[in-house]
Amino acid sequence: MNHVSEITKIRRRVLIEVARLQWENRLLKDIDDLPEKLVQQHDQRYRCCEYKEKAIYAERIKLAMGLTLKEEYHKKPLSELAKKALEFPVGPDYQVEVIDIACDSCPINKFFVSNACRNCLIHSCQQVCPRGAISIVQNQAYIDQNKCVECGLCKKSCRFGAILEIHRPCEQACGVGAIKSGENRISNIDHNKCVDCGACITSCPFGAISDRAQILKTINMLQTNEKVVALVAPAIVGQFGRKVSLNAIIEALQKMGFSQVVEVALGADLVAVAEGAEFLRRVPHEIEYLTSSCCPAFVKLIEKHHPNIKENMSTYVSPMLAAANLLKEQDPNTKVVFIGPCVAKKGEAMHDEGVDTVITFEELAALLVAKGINVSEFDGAGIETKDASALGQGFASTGGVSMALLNSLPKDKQDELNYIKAEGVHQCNEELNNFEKNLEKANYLEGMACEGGCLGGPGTLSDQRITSRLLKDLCRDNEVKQPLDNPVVQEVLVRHPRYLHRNKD
Amino acid sequence: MKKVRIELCVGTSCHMLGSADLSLVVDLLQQEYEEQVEVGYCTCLGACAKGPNVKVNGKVLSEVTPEKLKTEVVNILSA
Repeated sequence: MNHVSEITKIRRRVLIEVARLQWENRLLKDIDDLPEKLVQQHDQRYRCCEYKEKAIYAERIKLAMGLTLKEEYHKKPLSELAKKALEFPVGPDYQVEVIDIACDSCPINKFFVSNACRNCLIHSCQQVCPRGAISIVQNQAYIDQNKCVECGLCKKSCRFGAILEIHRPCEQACGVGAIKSGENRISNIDHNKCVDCGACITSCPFGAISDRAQILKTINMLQTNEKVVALVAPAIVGQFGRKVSLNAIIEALQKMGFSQVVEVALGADLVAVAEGAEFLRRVPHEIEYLTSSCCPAFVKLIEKHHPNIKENMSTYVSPMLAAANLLKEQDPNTKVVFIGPCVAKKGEAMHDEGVDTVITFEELAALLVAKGINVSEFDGAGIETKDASALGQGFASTGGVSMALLNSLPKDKQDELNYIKAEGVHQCNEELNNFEKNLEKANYLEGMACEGGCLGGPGTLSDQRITSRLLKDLCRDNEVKQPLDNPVVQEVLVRHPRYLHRNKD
Repeated sequence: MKKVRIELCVGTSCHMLGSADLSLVVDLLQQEYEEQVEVGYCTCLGACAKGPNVKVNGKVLSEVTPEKLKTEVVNILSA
C-alpha cells in the first residue's frame, strides 16, 4: 500500500533541490554542496556509509540535470557538469539508465534451496531434476548452478515449499528482455531492445534505475520566453490529490509562468477521427488489422521487436505531436512543454520540432514546490477547460483509445471494428506475437505500454485506483462527448496538415 | 471517550512525499474508531521540507509514515 516509498522520496527530493537551484539561478554556485545537503535531510542511512550515499546522490543529480551517466562524466565536479547541462545537450536517444553504484547486484541464481529443506527421504527435487543438478550436501539439497536450466520442476515438486524462485525485479518487470545482469552482476540495459517504458524504474527496490529529466531547460524557457504553453496529458486529473481539481492545476501552471495550458486530449480527438478514417480505408483492403500509435513505447516495441508488422501501425502521430504542431502552426514562436506520466515521450519528442521539452507529473510537482507554489491553495475558479471531448480525455485509460475510435466511425460502420486492447509491455508483446502469427481474429489492436494505460505511467504522482475514478468523473461532466463534436477537429481535418502523419513526406 | 483530531496536509510538497498514503490510513482509522476520529485537511503546516506533515490533537508531526501515524493515533486512543 505504501505507494510513496523511501526511494520515491529520495528521487523527488533530488528533483526539488535541483529545480530550486535553477529557479534561483544558483545552480553553478551551489550544486557542489547539494549531495551533502541531501544526505543531511534524512537521519536514516540506506547504504554502507555516507560517502556512498553522496556518490549515489551525485549520480541522481546528473540525471535530474538531464545528463547521461556516461564514463567521461565520472568523478567530475558537479559544477563543471552543470555548466554542460545548462547548454541543454540533446543526449542519446534512450531515456532509461542504470545508476551502477546504486545497483545492489541482486543474485542471479533463479532457484535456491532455503533452510526449510528437511533432507526428507523421498528427495523429490532430485528425482524430477532433468539435468541431475541436485545433490545432497550437509543434510540439504544443493543446486549446482552450472547444471541448472531453471525449469522450476524442483520447486514444484517440494512438498515443504523449501525451494525458492528468485527474480531480479528489474528483469522481471522488463517485457522485452532488455535488462540483464552484466559485469559484476550489475544490471545492464540493452538499448537496442529497450522501449523506454520505465517499468524497471518503478520496480527496482534500490532505486538504481532512472531517466534523465528536462527540468533545467523547462525552467529556463519559463524564465526567458514570452509564450510557453503547457500541453497537459489527460492523465493529469487527480495527480495532486483527490481534493485538487483540474482547473486548480491549470491555475497553478499559469501562476508558475505558462502563458497558456492546453489539453493533449485535443490531439487525441484529432487522432481518433483520423485513425478511424484510416481504419475504414485500409482494413481489410490493404491490411488485415491496424494497431494504435499513440503510445511511444508501444511504437518502439513494434519497430524494434516486430518490424514485420510495421505497416500495420497507424500512420498518424501521437496526440502529443498533433496538438503540439497545431500550437506551433498557430504561432511558430511558441515554446511547448509536454507534461505527462511518460518516460518514453521524452524520446519521442526528440525527433519532432513540435515539442520543446517533456516533463513528468512528478517533475512538474518538483518545479512547483521549488518555486513555492502550492497547488492545493488554488480553486481554479474562472478557469474553463474546453479543449477536448470526453472520449479524447479517455485516452489516458486503457480501452479509451478503442472507445474513441469506435465512436468516431459512422454508425453504420461501427460493427466493422473488432478491437482488442493490450496493456503493459508483456501483454502488448504477447498480442503482437499473436497478430504476427495470424492467431488473432480482431482487426484493431490498442497497445498501451503501461498497465492501466497512461494513468499507470512511471511519472505519475497518484495511485491509479484514485485517478481512474476522477478521470471517469471528468469525462462524465464534459458536455462535449464525441471527438467529432469538437469544432477544432472539423477545421483541422478538412485541411489535413502534413504534421498529422508520422512520415511527413 | 477519548477523541483524536487529525489534520492532514495535502499541500503539493506533502503530496509529493506521500500524504495520499496517509489519507488511506486515516480512512481505515475512521472506519475502525468512527466518531472518536475527526479528520480535517489543510494546505500547509509550515514544515514543507520535512513532509509529509500531520497535525494530531494540535501537535505537528513531521516525516510521517502510514505506520507512524497509525501508532500515534492508536496510542492516544488507548492511553
